Amino acid sequence: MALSIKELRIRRILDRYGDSIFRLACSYLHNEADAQEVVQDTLIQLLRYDPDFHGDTQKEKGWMMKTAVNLSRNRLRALSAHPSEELNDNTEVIKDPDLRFVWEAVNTLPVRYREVIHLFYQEGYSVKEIASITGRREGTVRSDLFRARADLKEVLKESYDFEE
Amino acid sequence: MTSRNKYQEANESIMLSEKRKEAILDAVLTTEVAPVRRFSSRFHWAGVGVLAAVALLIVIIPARFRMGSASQSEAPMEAMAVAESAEYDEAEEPVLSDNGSYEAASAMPGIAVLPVPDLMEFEGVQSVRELHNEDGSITLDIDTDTGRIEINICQEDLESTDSDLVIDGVSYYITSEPLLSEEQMERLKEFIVAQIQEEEY
Repeated sequence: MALSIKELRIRRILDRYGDSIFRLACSYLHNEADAQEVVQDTLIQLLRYDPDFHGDTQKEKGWMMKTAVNLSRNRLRALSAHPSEELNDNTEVIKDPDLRFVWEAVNTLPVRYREVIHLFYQEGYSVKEIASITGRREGTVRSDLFRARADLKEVLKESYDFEE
Repeated sequence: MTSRNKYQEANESIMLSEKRKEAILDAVLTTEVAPVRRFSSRFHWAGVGVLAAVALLIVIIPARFRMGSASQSEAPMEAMAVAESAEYDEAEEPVLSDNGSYEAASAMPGIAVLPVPDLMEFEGVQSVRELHNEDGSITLDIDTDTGRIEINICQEDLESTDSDLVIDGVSYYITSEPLLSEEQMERLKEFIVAQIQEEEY
């Protein structure tokens, strides 16, 4: 069966950025079902706004990540406003206890710190790009990164080596 | 393996299963999405209206100034001299103020120069590098006898409530490696406040 242009486009975007958006959303929400909905909503926003990236894949990814950041923050806010819908960490896919320890250490950080840690270390974005994605000043991002590393150092103690 | 690599590897194991992907595709493709019209005719006409208003202002304001100077030319020489001197004083006032270049530059529309303390006199400081970031914030990279201090200076960020020091709406974020003791931090803050106030008065 022939696929429509819209379906082809969404499939391409999902294959290319789906995992990155899913991981980013997981780092905020600690919940795969919620993260899946963030991926879904990000794609719906893409169809709604239909931005033209002029073939620039960096811009395209940046737009997707920025939208996912905003949607994750909104969802986090909504979830914290309704204590009955508790945030439960069910990202059980990380089996190795060593890896899980580091992942959880990052997730104990305040949201603003873990978003910069994730975007910097996992996605490889520069401070300038993170500032654009999160809507903060470069100086603030730099400070957050610095403080996040200091906090991580406390949590991870000897095994710490999150450096630039 | 470093902690950083462990974090990356942990993340790599989080991925969308084919089942999840299909569920997402199904949900997205069956959702009725009304595209946002970025340039609707209403906005188009609003834009034309704004442009017309700006054009009128550009034409009218200089014309009024020209009219003003034309009437001045008809006025007695003495009155004209007074008017000219008043205009001169008004234009030059920020430059001549005691606050020096900071005040003068911030009087220019759209340019806010952030007050930067001179930290060379602070205990143990060996060098200070001042970096002007593209977003208008300033980073001071300071080498000291015992380590490195970084101070980020920016107009108060509404989202941030954790700046170390706020002086007249300007935030100072202080980070250091190794971390400063509480006492050292207090001394540094006091020094910055004193420096900024000295600059102002």
